[in-house]
Amino acid sequence: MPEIVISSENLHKFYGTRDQKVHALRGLNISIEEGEIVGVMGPSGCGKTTLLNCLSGLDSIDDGNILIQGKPLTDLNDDQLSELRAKKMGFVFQTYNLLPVLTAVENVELPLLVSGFSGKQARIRALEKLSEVELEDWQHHLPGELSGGQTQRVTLARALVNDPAIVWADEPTGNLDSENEKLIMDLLTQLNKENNQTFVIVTHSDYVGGRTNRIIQMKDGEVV
Amino acid sequence: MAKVFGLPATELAIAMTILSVLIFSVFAIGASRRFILVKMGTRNIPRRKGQSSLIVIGLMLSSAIIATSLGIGDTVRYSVRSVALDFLGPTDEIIEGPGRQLFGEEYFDYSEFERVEQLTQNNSDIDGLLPLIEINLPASNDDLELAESNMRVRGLDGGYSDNFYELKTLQGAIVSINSLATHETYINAGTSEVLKINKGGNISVYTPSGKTEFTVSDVLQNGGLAGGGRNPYVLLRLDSLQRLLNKEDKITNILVSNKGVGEKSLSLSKEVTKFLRTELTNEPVATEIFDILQGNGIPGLLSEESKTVRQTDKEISNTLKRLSENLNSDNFNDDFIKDISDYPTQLMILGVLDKSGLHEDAGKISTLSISLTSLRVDDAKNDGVKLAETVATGVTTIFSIFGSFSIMVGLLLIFLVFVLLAAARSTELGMARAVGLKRRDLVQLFTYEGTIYALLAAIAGTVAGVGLSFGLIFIIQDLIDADDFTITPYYSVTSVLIAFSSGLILTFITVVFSAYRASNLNIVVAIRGLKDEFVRKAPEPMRKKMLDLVWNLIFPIKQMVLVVTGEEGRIKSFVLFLIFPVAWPINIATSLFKLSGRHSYLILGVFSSSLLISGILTETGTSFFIGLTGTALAVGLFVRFLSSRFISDAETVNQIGGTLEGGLVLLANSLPFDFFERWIGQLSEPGPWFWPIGGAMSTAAAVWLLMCNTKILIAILNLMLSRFSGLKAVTKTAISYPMASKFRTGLTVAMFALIIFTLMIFSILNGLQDITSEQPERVTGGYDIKGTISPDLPISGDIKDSLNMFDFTIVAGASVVPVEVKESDGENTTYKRSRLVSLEDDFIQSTQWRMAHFDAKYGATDQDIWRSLVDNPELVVASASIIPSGDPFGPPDRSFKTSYLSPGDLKKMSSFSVDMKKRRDSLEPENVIVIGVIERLASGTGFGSESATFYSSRSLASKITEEHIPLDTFYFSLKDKSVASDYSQKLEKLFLANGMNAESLLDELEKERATNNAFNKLFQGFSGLGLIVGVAAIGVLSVRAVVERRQSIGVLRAIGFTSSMIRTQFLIESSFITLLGIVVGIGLGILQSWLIFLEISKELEGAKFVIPIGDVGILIGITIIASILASVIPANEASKIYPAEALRYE
Repeated sequence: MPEIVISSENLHKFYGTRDQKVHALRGLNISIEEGEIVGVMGPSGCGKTTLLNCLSGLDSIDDGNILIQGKPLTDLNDDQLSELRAKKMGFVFQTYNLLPVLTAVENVELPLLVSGFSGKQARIRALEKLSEVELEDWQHHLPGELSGGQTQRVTLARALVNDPAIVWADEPTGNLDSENEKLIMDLLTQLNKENNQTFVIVTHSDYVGGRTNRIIQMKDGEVV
Repeated sequence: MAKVFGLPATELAIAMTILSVLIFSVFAIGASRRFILVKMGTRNIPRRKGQSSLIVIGLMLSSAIIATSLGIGDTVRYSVRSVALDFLGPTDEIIEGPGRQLFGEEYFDYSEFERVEQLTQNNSDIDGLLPLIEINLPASNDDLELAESNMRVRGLDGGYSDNFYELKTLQGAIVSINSLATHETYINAGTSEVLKINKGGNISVYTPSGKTEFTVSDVLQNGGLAGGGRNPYVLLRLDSLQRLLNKEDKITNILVSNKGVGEKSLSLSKEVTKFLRTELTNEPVATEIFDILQGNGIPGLLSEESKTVRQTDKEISNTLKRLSENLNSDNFNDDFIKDISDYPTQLMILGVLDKSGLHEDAGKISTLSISLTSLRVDDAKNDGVKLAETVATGVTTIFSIFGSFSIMVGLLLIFLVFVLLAAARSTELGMARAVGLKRRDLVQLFTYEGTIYALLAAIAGTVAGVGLSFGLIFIIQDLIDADDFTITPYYSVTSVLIAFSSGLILTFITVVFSAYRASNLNIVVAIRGLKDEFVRKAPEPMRKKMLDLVWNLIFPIKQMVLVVTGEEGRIKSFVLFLIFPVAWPINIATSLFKLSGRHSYLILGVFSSSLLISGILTETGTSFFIGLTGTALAVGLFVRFLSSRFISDAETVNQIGGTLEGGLVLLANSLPFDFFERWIGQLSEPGPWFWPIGGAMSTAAAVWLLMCNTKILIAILNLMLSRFSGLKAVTKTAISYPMASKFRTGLTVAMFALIIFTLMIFSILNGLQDITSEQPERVTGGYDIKGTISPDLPISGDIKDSLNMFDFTIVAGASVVPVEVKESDGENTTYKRSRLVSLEDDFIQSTQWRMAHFDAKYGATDQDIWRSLVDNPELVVASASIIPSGDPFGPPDRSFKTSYLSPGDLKKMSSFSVDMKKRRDSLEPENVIVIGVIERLASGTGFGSESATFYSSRSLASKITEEHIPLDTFYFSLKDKSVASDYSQKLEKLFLANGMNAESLLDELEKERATNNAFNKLFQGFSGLGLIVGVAAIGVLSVRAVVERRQSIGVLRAIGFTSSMIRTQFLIESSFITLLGIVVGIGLGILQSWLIFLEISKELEGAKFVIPIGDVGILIGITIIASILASVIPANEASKIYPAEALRYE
């Protein structure tokens, strides 16, 4: 029986000022098993990204509980959350979000350096990951010198370089054409099979949704 | 002040005010036509109060520095002027004896006064005359055993003094000198304070005939006839003093008062002086001289000489020119008589005649000039005021030069601020352009915003500068600590106008330039907010470039045509027309560079090498060094061009080109000053303003070199920092960000580098003076006490007979006489004022003063050279002041200078002969040989004067003057050196009747060192003001970085950066930029100091080059801490951003 790695109980999140509040998440109960690829879909503004941010500890919650590998997220302080992200999580965003001043390999090795790897070890592992995404020849290029698809592959390499248990992806193919979209999803599913990592993918794309194991459909802050 | 930055102050103030008004008029006209642009441009100022305040604080520094420099200059001028006016009171001119006496006061007959009285009775410009004796005599309060060895004693003729000046008691009652009995005296408040004597007390005055006691009739307020400043004065009846001094019917001076008071009386000085000099000149003798000078082409020779000395002494040059014109036009007038009766002018003419081989004419004039005048007229008040102007201009120049680095940094900040503002608003501006705003609208928009900042900064800066100047004056007052000089804070309206306008104009120009740059944005790139990229314009066709060049060759006409047609905006064209003297060459240069395209190195190369060659041909240092720098840059640009032909990678080309451009320019500016002299001969010294210009060029080159090699720098730093695994991720990002934004990082690095550069030079050069504490004997000569006595009260017999010689190891005497000296065979064949110090053999045998230069023919050591003086009385050594130093700040030194030696020459010299003669006399000169030059260190305690001094054995002085010269200076070496301070007081008491003034040389040296140190610290502090700007720049950069990198902060937080890591990253980033600036600044500072040290060490044997590690540590510490503090708030803000919130930010 696969282990539940992500779960939430009665999750609530509000935005806005005291006078005007938006109830972004309305008592969500979710559970995701190890090795699953889960898609989160729904119309714009339904709370998909907010859910991903809350589950990954990037954002705070107003009520309820989140458990990551059985441990409540709310018990962790900011530094512990950072450590958790550094060691157990990887992130892929729509706008790539590579640091423009670092080369491809430097971007990939950064999470390892944060986790305390030596410079040498970090570089070796980063190059391995770059070669997995077939970009070892582009290691010394800056993000500005790469195409959209290449950039997103570097982002993927960065997300996976520390062998995270969970990879969070927010519209990972939103800025890509269909050819690159397929390429990224092939890569993602292949890695999922090889490493048994859990993927939570927020997407608008039916194609991406179709490549996931399960879809959480959302509307107005609720799972429908 | 009469002149500021070499320009007439009033005219400068008017011109700058007009320019400021013009700026506001253009602003107002533009605003009235398109107010929406003003609204768009200025709306951010009140919205972002913090940022706006930071910008204003940074920008105000230029105005503040200029205002401070001018304020200090104003105060010095006002104070020196006040002292001169206070000291002289109603006296405008002073008539003195003919100046032929060698020592002591020079007396002349009272009948001369009667003659002057008669001559002036019909001159309505003269208000009054006063005959008097003024002399320095010792005085004491015997009851309290208090003494003053140098009391100014005045004997006033009561028949004239009451009308001349009102003497007031401390209670304000008016008293007359006539009411004094023969045994009574008035003293001023200064004397009452020093000797603690009040009304009714007794005061003893020492004269050659002995001690005489007087009863103090009253104590007078200081000032005017009762003595200026806080100087002690004793006033007696003229006849009483004449009797006391045994000088019946004799006086020393006639004081002349012009009509009116203050500026009015001062304005008459020139005319009255001319009148008196003309009237007191023997006209038939003057006519004879006139006739001689008209012959043998002498007017032409004088005109030539006038041109030769123009650079070094403008006043003498003007006199020679005027003389030549009057002689040419056969115009024997008052101007000629006034000029010819001036003694330095006579010497100058004699020199010109001698140089041209007209020895017979020179001999005749020399003989005639003795009977030309029997009295001299000293334009005392006017000279005092002129001195005030010279000193004030010098002080302003020094402060402006030291401040110029901060001004440059301030201007860089303005530029940086606008680069960042443009970056921050690029999307908004791109939209504005997309909906139809023109490029010039964007320029206007930014200019409106910048003008508001410039106005606020100019107001704040001027106010701060006035305050700062008063603060600094307060410190300077403490440092000077002189009894007779009180500094009074003063600020003139002219200076306020100049400071305000110059700050405003400088800021405005930079704002317009930055606005123009900011307006050059690519609309698409700007809207998408991708990067600070600028449009690459399509290349212009060659025909258009040629046409532009032709138009720009006739730039004023082009602008007039544009004003008429309105093609490029009438206001813009009109403004450019108004400033065509500046805009014309810039436009021609721009057209030429455009025309040459990628071959711009050709234009630069041709222009720079022409400047270089002209520098060599005219021996002008400034042209040579600027030409050299330009040529070096042209070579770099050429290599860049060549590399671009063979290497496709633009970054590599940039690295090669930048390295060579920066490296070569840096090299050209870092060679020893005399490096090229062996090939091209000696060049004229570049003026003092070359220092900040050279500093700026070196800094720009070093920063350029650094920023073109960021790849290497990052690799080195990563290698170094990879040892600290905990910080690796943080340092990697902290270094990479500033290295990616080369332009803004380069600007900030340059700011810090410029300031640290100056501070380093101060620190290192400050350390050089330590030689005086390590080897004080090089200053003191190894003696402990120096005592000077009044030449009117010589010590009878041998001084040693009056001393307990058991306490001393050496007691040696000397005397000083004025002489005139010229080179026998060198270039300087005009007799110039000098002094001859004849030393007793004991002094010569024992002195430890060292030689800066000597002729090895006369000995192998300094002692050998000294001893040669005893063996051969025709040998002399000279003070270092005979070497022309070209001090640009003080009044011109008109004493003797040699043509055989230059600053920085080697120790080895060849002896040379000079002709030395008695002052103002036609006696045949003595030919003496100069075998050595004493190092400059000795001049302070030597004979205390900066003018040329020669040292010989005793016999030479008598031989030259044909008189017996009594000893007036004594040097004492004590067995127990620790009692020097007490013993000097003992000596003053012992030789009170001779007016001995004794001082412990080590105490004096210590005092001087402390004062120098304090002044250095003061200048260092002033120069360091620019650090505030640097720190403000770091603050602005950090604020901007947090805004720009919000999303990146989110990503970093997502991949595991803790909030403290984010904070640390920003703090490391600002410290890193600061550190880069510090490293560049320290490097350049050490390099420049080393070059200066090389020059100094040639004259200062044993000088050590020490880098003050402690000072450097403090400098680095303070600067980095200040930068960290400036970025703490933005760094904290960055660390508090919630990751999800940061990632959402677009």
